[in-house]
Amino acid sequence: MRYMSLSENAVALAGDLLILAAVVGILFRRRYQICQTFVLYLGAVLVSDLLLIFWPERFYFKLFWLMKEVLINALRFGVALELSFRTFRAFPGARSTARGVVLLLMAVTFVTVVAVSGDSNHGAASAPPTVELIAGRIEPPLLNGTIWLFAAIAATILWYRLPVDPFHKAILIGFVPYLLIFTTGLNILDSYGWDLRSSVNVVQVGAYIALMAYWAHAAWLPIADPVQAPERTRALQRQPG
Amino acid sequence: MGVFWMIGLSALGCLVVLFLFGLRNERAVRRDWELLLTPRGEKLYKSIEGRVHSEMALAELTYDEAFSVRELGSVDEAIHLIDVGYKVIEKFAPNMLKLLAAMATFSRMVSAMAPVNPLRPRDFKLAQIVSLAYLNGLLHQFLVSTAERYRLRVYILGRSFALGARFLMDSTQRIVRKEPEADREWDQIQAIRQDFQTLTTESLDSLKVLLTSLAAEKREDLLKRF
Repeated sequence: MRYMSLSENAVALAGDLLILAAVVGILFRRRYQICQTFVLYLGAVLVSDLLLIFWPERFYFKLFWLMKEVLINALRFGVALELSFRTFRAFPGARSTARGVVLLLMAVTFVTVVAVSGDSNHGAASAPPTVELIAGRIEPPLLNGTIWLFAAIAATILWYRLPVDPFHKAILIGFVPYLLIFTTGLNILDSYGWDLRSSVNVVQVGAYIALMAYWAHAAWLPIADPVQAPERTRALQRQPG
Repeated sequence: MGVFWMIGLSALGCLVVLFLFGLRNERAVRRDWELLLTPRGEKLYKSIEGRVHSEMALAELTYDEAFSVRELGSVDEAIHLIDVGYKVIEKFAPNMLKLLAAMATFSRMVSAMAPVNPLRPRDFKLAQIVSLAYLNGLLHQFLVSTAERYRLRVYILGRSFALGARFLMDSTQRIVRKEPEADREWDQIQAIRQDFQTLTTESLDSLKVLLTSLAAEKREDLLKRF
């Protein structure tokens, strides 16, 4: 069996160091209180990566990869739902709109995934799911649903002009372009064959490293001071000393 | 090809949304939510704030004078001033209760209420009001909507004003009757004064939240009825 090459391991380790920096930043700045699922998501990505890097002979196999993908996809959905809950809970009007949009998108994603997996099994009902089937057919609509979910949350925030925590904003802004690149890569592999894997991998890994660097930076940013009324600020400036 | 179309449309739509979202100035949005007072709302707020502050200033002046005179040894004059100070608060407290009741009523006409924090027990001196602040913090966690939390806060403020006024009356009467251990009553009055000040500030903050929420929903018509 071919494990990850030295360069692939080095890139994965660089990504993991950035995840670690993001997690430490989140803990240090006490941001875990506002994004618990996101910390779990980063933790799951970090642990699964480290298992693959340091114990490939035990974890570098298809079932582990599938389990990892299922867990990470579920946590990613969880991040979207938590962001939605935390952002809209204080605003009943926006909350009811967001609830409708989230339910609709989850239903559409579910139907798409079921339809795609049904198509793939046509004529081969007893065939076991393969990595190619999951990665090429089921994962793209699932990721697409997650992208829509994040974009819908961003659109609702924009529409209602709601205040949002800068770190929540960083999570939203980071996820969507990365998932778009990742999904496009998977579709290219499914349509044009897995021979293009190395080229697609370079782009996906580049996007992944950029994303983790962005989140690590966002996690370490100091918590913004509360906004003060202009007259209050001016009054403070007038205070001697 | 269908999936590629789906991805293409997703990419385009999502990137437009993200671009606009990224361009948005979060500090400005937050400031808008905190300071979104229309000229009419601001005028109303300033008028209520001015009235409340002048009534509180009158009470404070009287109490300051009473404490100064007492230190100089004129106990009878100090007692007279304490009685006068109580009469000012006696008129002030019902006005605040009416204002808080009106705020609770108006909060039912707003669908999106800006978030509020519960009262902080450490800001108060009187044990009974501290307990009410703790109760506010506890119940705050069990309520889901911001409107319910707002009404809870307003209710606790009202109860605290009533409680403070009652304790002030008891202490003032004991001092006027020259009952034993009057020194303790003077200390109690000092504590109630500080609590009244905090309660007034918190009530005005709550009023600002309500006016901001009314302005955000363009319900300025309601301000005329305030």
